[in-house]
Amino acid sequence: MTHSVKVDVWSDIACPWCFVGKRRFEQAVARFDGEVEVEYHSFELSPETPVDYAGTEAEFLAKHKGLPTQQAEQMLAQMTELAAGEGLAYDFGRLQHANTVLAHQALHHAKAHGKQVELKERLLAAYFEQGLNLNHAEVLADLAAEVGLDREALLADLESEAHLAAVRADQEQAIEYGIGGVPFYVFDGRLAVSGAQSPDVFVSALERVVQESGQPA
Amino acid sequence: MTGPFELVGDADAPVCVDGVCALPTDAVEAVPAGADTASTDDQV
Repeated sequence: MTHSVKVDVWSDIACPWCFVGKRRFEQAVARFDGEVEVEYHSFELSPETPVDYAGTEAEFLAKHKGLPTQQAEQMLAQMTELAAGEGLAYDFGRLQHANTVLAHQALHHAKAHGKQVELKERLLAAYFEQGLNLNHAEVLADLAAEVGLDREALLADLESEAHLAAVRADQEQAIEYGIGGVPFYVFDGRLAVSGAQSPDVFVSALERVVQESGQPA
Repeated sequence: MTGPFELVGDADAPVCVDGVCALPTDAVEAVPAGADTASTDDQV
């Protein structure tokens, strides 16, 4: 019998550790002897981020943390190197800051149409590797079409805010659970892992959930 | 963490919180490694 584990993931597409964590989690899933169902939940890291912020990522970071721009650039360079170790080509020089509430609505639309995992990957790559501007519905619709979603249907849902309540519900659940940072993974509603941890940690959590659930080997 | 689940692994793994992410040279900040956190402010 095949083991099956449901994993709920709170994350934001503007979260560099979420993409790194996604790769590490994927390594764990590849090693796990069973099936894993992933559902992504919305977590806005910075809901007050302005649409179309004009500065660079280093300038934004320097301002936010009160650091010299040069130091912020060094930190981003090290994050880029760390991500490269996971096979990711972060390009903070091209990155365009986004208020991610539209992207979260798009991900809920994708979930309703069975394409959430595919769109999540596409949006993370667009943001961190390709410097696409995810502030805008038209860009999100283009990316959605790339993963097989109906472009016009997504635009209609974004226009009507059809999934905004679902985004807010995810955020309220995060608060209820005490989730303060992302990525955050919940395994079968019983075990949780916070942060971009090693594949070993994720494998251990998956295996423990199976053992404790009484699923036959 | 006050959720109805047991937290496993490294409690200090990197995350992003309140719009700020623990970055590689950011060790002096009390942000868990490997994660980003939400804030009402800007984000990295």
